[in-house]
Amino acid sequence: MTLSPSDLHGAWALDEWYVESEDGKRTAPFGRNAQGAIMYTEDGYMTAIVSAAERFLPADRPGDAQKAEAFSTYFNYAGRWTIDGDSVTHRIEHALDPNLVGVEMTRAIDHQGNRMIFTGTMSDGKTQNVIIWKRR
Amino acid sequence: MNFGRDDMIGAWTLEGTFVEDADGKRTPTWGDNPKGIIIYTADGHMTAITRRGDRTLPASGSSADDKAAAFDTYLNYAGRWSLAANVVTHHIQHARDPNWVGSDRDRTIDFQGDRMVFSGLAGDGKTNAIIIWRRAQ
Repeated sequence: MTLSPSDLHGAWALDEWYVESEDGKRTAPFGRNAQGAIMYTEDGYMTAIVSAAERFLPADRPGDAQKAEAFSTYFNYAGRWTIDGDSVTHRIEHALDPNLVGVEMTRAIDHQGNRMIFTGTMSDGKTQNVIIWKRR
Repeated sequence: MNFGRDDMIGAWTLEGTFVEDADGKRTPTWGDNPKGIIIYTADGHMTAITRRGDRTLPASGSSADDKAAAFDTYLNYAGRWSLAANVVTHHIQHARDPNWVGSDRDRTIDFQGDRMVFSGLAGDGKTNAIIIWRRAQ
């Protein structure tokens, strides 16, 4: 299926995020109740957030270990986006992990009703990364 | 300038963010080279990122101190938004700091040409926090 930009415009909520190994075993990096949002604007910008459900940070003077835990349970970036065929590319301009700035991420998209399913191969070249979004 | 929801929809890039005390003294929130983006979607959602321009993190083997520093130099939240006269309210559903989830943030908006200027009381309840956004190119 060829995507049109208007298929993506607006906001989506995270339905599920898992990685699948070659033998089909699935694990959820941020747990089964992970939450998140992805947004695409008509003027060419996007943002994605994925968050573990159970995050805690003391409101008053949190320590470095607690901040590091909050850092490691939250994923966020933003930038420009384009589509090509059935894939979307995100050109990252801002990210909680500064190493992602300047990186391009391409995801194949499968539209299924009010859901859109992103798939991509992890850096090991074997594990599949699957992110399922549903219309808000 | 009078404005409505349609004037806000889309993406804006950060031009400046600072707090101003009663004497007019300005202190930059994220140093001399702040970066950021705010997005409003037509279907009622928003997200904002503001950050320092000079953040780094070791690509592997980063320590808790490194991650805490990266955490402390970046702000992000997302949620629904509503506009009443010249005040926008962000209803926060996701946030870098989990303590913000479920809270509302109000910002008074002044449109100045292709700039959208937010003002509101800073966390100390005294100084005025100013955020200047410019239409993303």
